[in-house]
Amino acid sequence: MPNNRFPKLQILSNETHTLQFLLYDTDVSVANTLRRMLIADVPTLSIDLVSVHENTTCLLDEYLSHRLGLMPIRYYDTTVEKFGDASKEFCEPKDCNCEDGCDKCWVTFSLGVQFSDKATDITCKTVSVTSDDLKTDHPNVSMASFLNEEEEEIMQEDGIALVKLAKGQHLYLEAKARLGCSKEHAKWCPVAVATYRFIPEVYLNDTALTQLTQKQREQLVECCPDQILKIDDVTGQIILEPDFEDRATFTEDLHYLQESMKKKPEDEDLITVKQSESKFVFTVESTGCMHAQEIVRSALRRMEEKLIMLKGECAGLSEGV
Amino acid sequence: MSAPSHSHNGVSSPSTLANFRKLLAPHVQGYDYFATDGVTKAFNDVEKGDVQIQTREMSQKPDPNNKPPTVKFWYSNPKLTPPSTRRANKTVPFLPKHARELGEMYDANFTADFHFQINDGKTQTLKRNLGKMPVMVGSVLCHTHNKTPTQLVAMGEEDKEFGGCFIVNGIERCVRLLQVPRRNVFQAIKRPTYKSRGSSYSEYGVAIRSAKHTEDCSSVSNTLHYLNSGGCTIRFAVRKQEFLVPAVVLLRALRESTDMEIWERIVRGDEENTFLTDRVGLLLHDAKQFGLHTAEECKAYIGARFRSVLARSDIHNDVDVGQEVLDRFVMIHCAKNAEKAECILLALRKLYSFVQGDCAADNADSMQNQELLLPGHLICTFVKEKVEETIASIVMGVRKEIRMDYGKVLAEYETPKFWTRICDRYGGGSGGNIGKKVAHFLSTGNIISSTGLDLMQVSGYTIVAERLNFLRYISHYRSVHRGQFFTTMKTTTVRKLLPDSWGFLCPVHTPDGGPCGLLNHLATKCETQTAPMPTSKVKKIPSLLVELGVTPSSPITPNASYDVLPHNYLTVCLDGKVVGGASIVDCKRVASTLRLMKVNENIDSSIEVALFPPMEGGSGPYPGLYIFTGPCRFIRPVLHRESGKIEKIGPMEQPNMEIACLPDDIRPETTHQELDPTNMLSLIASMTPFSDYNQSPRNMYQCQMGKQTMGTPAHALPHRTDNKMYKIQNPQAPMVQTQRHGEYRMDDYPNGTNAVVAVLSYTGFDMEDAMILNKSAYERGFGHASVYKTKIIDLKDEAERMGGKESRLKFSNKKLPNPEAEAAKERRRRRNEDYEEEEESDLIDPSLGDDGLPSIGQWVSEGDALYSYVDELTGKEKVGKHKEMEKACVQHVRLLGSEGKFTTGGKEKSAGLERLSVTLRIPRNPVIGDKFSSRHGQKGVMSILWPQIDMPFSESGMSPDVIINPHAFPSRMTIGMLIESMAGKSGALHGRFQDATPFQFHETGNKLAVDHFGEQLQTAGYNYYGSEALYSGVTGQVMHADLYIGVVYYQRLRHMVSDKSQVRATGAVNQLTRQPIKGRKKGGGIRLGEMERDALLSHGTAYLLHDRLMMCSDRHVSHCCGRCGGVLTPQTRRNEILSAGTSAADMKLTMMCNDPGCKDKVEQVEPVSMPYVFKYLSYELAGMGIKMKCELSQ
Repeated sequence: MPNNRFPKLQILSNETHTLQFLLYDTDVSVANTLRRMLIADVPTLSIDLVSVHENTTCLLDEYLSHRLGLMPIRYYDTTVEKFGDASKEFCEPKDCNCEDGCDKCWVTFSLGVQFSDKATDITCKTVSVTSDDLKTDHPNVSMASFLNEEEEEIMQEDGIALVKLAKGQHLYLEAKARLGCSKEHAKWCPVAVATYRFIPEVYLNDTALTQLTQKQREQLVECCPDQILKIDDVTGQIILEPDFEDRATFTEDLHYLQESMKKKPEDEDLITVKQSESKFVFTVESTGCMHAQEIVRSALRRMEEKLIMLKGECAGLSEGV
Repeated sequence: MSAPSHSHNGVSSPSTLANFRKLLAPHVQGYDYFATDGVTKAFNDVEKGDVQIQTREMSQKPDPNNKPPTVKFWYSNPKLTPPSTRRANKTVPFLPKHARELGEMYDANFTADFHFQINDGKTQTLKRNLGKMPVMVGSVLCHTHNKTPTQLVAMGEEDKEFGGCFIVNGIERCVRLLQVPRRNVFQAIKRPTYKSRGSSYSEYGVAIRSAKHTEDCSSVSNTLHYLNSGGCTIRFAVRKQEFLVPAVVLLRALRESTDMEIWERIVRGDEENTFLTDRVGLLLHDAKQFGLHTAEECKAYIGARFRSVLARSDIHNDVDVGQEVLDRFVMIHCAKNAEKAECILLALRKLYSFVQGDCAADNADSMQNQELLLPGHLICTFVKEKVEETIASIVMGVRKEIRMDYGKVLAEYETPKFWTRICDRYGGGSGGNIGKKVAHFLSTGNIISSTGLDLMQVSGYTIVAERLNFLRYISHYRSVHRGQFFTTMKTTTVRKLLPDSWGFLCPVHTPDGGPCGLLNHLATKCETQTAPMPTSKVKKIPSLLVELGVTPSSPITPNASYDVLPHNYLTVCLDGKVVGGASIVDCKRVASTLRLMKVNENIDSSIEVALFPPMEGGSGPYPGLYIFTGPCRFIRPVLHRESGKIEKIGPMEQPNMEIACLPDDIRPETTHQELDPTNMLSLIASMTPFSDYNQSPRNMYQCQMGKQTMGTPAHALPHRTDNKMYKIQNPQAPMVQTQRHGEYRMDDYPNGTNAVVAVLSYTGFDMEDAMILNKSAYERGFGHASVYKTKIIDLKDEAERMGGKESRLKFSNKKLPNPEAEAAKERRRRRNEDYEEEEESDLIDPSLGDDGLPSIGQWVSEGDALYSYVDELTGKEKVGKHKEMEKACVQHVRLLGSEGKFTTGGKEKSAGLERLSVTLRIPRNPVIGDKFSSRHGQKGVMSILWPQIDMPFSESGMSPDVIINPHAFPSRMTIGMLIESMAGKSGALHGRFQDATPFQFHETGNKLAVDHFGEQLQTAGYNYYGSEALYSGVTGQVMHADLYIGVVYYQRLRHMVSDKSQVRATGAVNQLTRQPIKGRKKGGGIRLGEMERDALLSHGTAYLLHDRLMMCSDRHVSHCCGRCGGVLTPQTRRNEILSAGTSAADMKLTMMCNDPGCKDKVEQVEPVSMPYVFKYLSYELAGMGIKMKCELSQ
């Protein structure tokens, strides 16, 4: 359904950190735009400036800074009561009105750990410095932690490990986080995965399929790595798995195999798997810095902003400005 | 493979260390032999020195009643003590890390007893210091010897420090293993150059590299030359001079024998062979001319001729000198004269058989006829020669003292004091003491020798063991060189891969290009016999052989008569000594019995039993049964099928054995089987996954590239001072790895990253072996790396550079009162009343600490201060700057030396803390143009960082880290990489490491590699063949074809753009021609050569050429006289007419031509722009009296 400009959205599953939804009544350009915005345009907070005061650990200053940058930071959006869009409170320093940094553009974290602080007993050889050791005064900003209790239980550390300290080692540093988006650097990327796939449309050519031998049918079923087909126990005919839509991957295996089964090359296909051109299943998985739902919202807001801007520009063009 | 192969408890297990120590045995155990037995044996084997206390006049007119006293002297009982140093008046162990960090030699005290004896009287002993002997890390002398990984870490070493290197000036150097002719075996050689020895010389010869029976590792080569007259001479070198002695003279000198005996023992009853009988007749006939009949006469004849070259005094008579020649230069692997004679007889038989065509020439390039020259053994022979030289130089020294003051010497020569002085003054010789000479050898790789040590080359013995990454480091110790001589040879025969080297040398791991085939690497399981078998065991073997049915030859039978074995008997030799003979059938039986005894360990298992049965038509080598027990032989384990035990076989026996590789290869006559088909690969080559699927040159390339990878060079980084080290910051264990990778715990030194690789042509940035890198992958740390550089700043060198030896430099950042500066300030103050005193800091550079050193963690850019020092005498100060363009971080600062004076390495080191060692870390994250490669010889440069949103993505949301072009595969046929991709993908999906050992899958087997991994992929819900439908990141559409995407281990190579980029607008020029200089370091340009010029001309780009060759090169505006055309004659001249009011400064300079013809003529001098070389040319021509004229036109 090309040129349909009234897309609809249906949520399939909504968990804190993963979101699945169906986008339909639109075409691929919109879907891809949303995907690209999710990955590259959602603003988040991330550590961008690190002043290392003292570092006697085994890791290098720039290595630690790089690791710090990659740690997701949460912003608790009080309006929606979720971890959400930090751009509501912060702005990028380059857009800020202040001259050399203010509370709106930078969040300061401090970290000061020495081995003896954390060592539980004398047998302890190493202690871990984790994201939990990064402290900030800002009430709504914190380092991301585990998704759920279950995950927390299987982890050995209380947060994301930064470095291990041996006896006598310490680490003092100050880190400043700012708003940014993943276009600039991947550390601002809010999503681990943001992807979509087309809903498959499978047509079984029943008349042609009935003429196949049982062995050929079995071959057809087996060749699909995504297991979308099965043989009906009663009739012995090929039928679709009930949840084929979730699994179909559009690989060419089926295509090649049935080519070899045709009597004449120009015969009609036995099974056709087509991509729906107007339905897209999205999967968004957060890194932990925002709720998945908020990421999508933020992305849509950004898209709207851009479209409004584009509209304005276009209007200007037509007026001949 | 379910578990990763890296160690868990912080340090590696002792068994891994043992594995590595086994690999290093040729180095470490060879040195151990030197340090324990070898050095003592070498000292004991040196001829005693003797000197008569008499003047030249006395020796010319000997007084029979008053014999001058003779003093004999010699060294014995050499002692090496583990390295130590004195600190605070205490002797403390000197560890390898100290040597590294101090930039010094890791060496041990070397002492020996000096004995002297006057006229056969009482022997007196003095203990003398022979300097400091360099110590091999990991050897018995080293503190790291046999230490556990935990202990090693405590000593500041790697947990897998296996040693093998010497530390020279803080740099690790290793002695190359060399392939040399096998010891104690006769080789039939046909060489046209042999003809040049003399008119009757033929191209036939039989050569032996005879190694001394005392096992001091020294050797002498003897060659028997066949003369066209039928005779034979034996060639050997004494002090680098070659001598040829008739064989019969030597034979007779060795054993009292008649012509009849010699005849019978060569012909051995084969009277029908008229070729042989004729020649032996001629041989004996030729010898008649010397008129020598008895052994005494022969020895005296030889002795008289060698007296001068051996520098033997009159104390020794000719017979003694003759015997000495026999002892030291003829068949020295035999102790007794009779044994030597027996050897020469065997060589003669072989020579005649060879000339007749009954046996083929032995191939000197075959490993059958080769062994290894071990570093320890080389040092042993070197030290032995140096002791000989020391003795000789003491003799010369005493003679010199006598010449200078006979009376004083006569009065003192009996006192130990005299000999102590002589020893210390003359014992060193010109190059210092023995230890110093060994140190010099190690630091330069050059052997300075008076005898040549029976070696083929004088230089190139040592190399720096670069620790670029672990693979490179270990491969230095497993590399084997064929010899420098062969690198210059035009023929490629020496470089050929011969089947004889199967299992001993790796067929894959050799560089392409110059050293191809000459620099090989030992197969992983190839070992070397490092020490000789104990004499007690060797002694039992001859009698055992006789028991088994070998008929002994004469020397074994005690009676003076001789036995002649039948000519159809094969000779049985033990380490080159003739034991006897036996029939072919008996020999076969003896050989197989010995092999069984060897396998069952009834005799030593290191023995090598090589049986050469006679071959039809003289196509094979000279038949015989050769048994070897000696050191330096290559050996490797194979399975003895009958007993199921492991037998170690050598390259000489291997070609005549039946060894199956795989179970399929077993035939009825098969006796042995390979333990593992991968045993033929070197350690580096066996790291390549699925190498059996690749086209072979690709595996060679990977062996090269593996050694150029930025990886994990070491873990003991704080204690390392290597000039340059590369380290990647986010290394991973390869998900697809071979079994040997696990066996040697290579995951402890990872060299790359598992990357998601898609094979497709996307964006065009992946053309011509370029690869596209995902920008986000890069930002998350892909390929991030640093370079570590260590610099040593020595204030002594700085003082010399400053010219004044009077200076006293000290690292400091505090300004000292400088009289000159104070005076200048005072002058200024006096001149200018309102001079304001500037607030001056008392620091030389504010970025440095008070001690003049940088702080750790400080970043320095080009031109920033790195250190500062002051001259305490003059008050001058200097700041040392960071000269490189790149920003660097100070990783380590070490101030070397100690307060006050101290001694190490036998010399007094600078007083105080005068040396500084700074380690800088330069971050080198990937930039466009940096080189990456997979493990299959597929290298490419990163051409762009592509944004993640534009990268293709799969339905699961994955986007590749790396995109490579499919054109990389068809011509290169690196199927191994495709399989690695599948294996890596399924490994990632199932969460397990994959086994990629070569030869695990076979095309006739029940499962192919593709099916194995395809099934795994299918169970994970992916395409069987590893391809996936990818969506374009730009349009969001599914791409038309399924794309191959998987996980491949990627290495980052050390070739980086930032090391190579060269650009210049203006800069340094050559002084003479004023053209830009070359060289990146000096800011030079890249030559636009003739061919480039031609190309530009052909495009008609005249302006560009003008710009390149003139404007950017040596453009020069010169004045040229329009009248005479000279460019040299115009000169500036001052306007001589002065008008009132013009000051001298305003006077105009005018150009006038100085040519006599143009003088005082109207000015026609014009400025002309020209290349400066043009002017230079006219100067040069003028120097030859030629005037160059230019015609000027508008």
